[in-house]
Amino acid sequence: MIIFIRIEPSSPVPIYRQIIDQIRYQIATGALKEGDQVPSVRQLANNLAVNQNTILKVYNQLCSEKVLRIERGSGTFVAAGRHSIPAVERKKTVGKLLREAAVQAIHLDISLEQMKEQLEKEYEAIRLMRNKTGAKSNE
Amino acid sequence: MNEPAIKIEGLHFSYGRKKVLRGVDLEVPVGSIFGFLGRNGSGKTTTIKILLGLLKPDAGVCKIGSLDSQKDVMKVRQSVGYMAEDQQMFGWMKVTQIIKWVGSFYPGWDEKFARELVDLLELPRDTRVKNLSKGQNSRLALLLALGHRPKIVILDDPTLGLDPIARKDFLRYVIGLLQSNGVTVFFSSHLLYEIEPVADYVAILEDGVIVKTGKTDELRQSVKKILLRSAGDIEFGGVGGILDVAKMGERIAVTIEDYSEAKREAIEKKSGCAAVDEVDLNLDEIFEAFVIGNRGKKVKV
Amino acid sequence: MIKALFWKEWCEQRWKLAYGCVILVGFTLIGLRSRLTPDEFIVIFASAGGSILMALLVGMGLVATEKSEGSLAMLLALPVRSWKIFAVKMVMGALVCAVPIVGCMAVSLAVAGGREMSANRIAVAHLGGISFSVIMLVWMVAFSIRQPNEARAGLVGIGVFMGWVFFVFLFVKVFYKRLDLVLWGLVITPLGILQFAASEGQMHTLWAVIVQAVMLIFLLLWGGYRFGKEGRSKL
Repeated sequence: MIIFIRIEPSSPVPIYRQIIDQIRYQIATGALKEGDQVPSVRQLANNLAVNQNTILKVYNQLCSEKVLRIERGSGTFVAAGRHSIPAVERKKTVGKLLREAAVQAIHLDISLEQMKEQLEKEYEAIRLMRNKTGAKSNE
Repeated sequence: MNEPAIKIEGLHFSYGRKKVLRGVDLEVPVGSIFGFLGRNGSGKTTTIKILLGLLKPDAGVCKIGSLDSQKDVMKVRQSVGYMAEDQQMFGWMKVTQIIKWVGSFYPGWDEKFARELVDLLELPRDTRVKNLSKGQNSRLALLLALGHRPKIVILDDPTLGLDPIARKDFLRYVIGLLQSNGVTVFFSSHLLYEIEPVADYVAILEDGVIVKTGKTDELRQSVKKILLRSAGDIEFGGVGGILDVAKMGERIAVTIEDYSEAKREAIEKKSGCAAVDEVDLNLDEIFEAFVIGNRGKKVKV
Repeated sequence: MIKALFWKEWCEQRWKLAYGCVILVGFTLIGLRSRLTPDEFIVIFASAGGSILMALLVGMGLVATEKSEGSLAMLLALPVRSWKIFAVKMVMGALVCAVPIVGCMAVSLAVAGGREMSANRIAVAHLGGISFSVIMLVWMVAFSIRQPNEARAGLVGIGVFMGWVFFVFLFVKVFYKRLDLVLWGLVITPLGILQFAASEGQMHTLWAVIVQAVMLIFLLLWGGYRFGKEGRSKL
């Protein structure tokens, strides 16, 4: 199972974060569906020519966030519905990101309106992609 | 497992009059991939040669595990895998011949493993070394370094002269063959963007000393540049972690190591101006900051 | 380990041995059979000339080839003491120098033994040639260790030989009145070995051998030491 991940050499974002973000993105857009198997640590490290400890870090974090799950002996899979995670936790995760975005926006003089506009755009774009791939809906 | 795989303390070395190493200190944790970074001519190869007992330092100690690299030279070479920079081998020998030949010097040589490696590394068995491509030559040199199953492998600029695809493949072999087996890898390069995805730790050698050592995945986030709203001369003495100060048009750009809010505030306070912007740096810029940054010495208008 | 080192040197130098045998033995055979010149001429020419030829040919390639190809670095990084590598090279080199001359000796004895020259004379002349060849090889290698390629090493070898010749001429010129001093002068140069081999001067021969042996040991130690330090030269 090959998943397409591209590491941006000139980005200030650490490599492990880039991989985490891209895996999350692929799950969100439905490119990776629930139950799909992701490559083993060794396989992904070999694919990307990246240190195995970095991949391990990625998988550990995604597992603790219940995005991926490890099945002893079989491999690592995309975790079943986020519904198993309590709504409070899910909201907190998103809330954290929104706070960071708000800080940046204020810092860079972006108005709340502009922010809302942008958020809507991004949200819809991902929704669209998700519908195209026929992934399970959020509702 | 408290002992580091490689430990270098206070290494000094001069080529004739020229002082190349001025007190290098380094520790390589067991089982890690350690990237040794520096500009061309900064002394990386010299350091590695001292580790292998090929050069004698003016002062300082190098330890490989519990062995001393000057006193236990032969034992070190038996237990370490070494790949020289741009390693030239005996052109007239065939691949199988040179593998067997080198193998006879190592009591711990694993012939079966070496044969597996020939296939894995896609080396043509009956071709003479002089007829190998650069990529094949590098892979052969790697094989010769691994045949005796060393626990520590030292590679001096192993991807020198390889095209980008061959380079990535080479690093894949290092990760797949060595990291999987808990082998400590110490390799030198002058390309940070190549070391970063592969290494657990990175050390930068400049002007004969190590100017930065730390975990690779913290590197990108830990170095930032802030722009101050001012164009005049500012003295930054006393604020730690400043790598470089430069004038950028009407702003002053301060590059900071181990960035934190506290440091930013300290700089704003010291200079009396507010920070207008925060800039994230790419790896080349980070490398430059450590290597040629002026460390905040007084900037002239 | 040592076996592997010998094998490598053999593979690299055997063509020189073949070349030397063909040239020298061929020359000796043709020269002695044709009888166009006195036997002595052929014998001296083959043993003396051959010894210089072989010493230069072998000495040029012993260390300098490794350097010019860049493989010396790899050799010195192996888990084997550098003096062992050097010793194996010198032993193999000496053998490659000696064997063609031994071949000449065998042929000369077979064809012309007891003819114009006694078998004894022929044997001694060739033994002198072998000794001279080995001595010149050691001198040449010891002095040319730092040279980056074969051509330069060859020049050093020629320079060493010319130096000896010059020394002998100078010595003879200065001490021509005192023949005994001249003989002692010859004792200390390797050329003396050739001379004494040819003339069978017993006492001086013994001294010559002792002096040459001592010099040889010193040169080998010095050469071996510098050989081990060759890792330094490249930055």
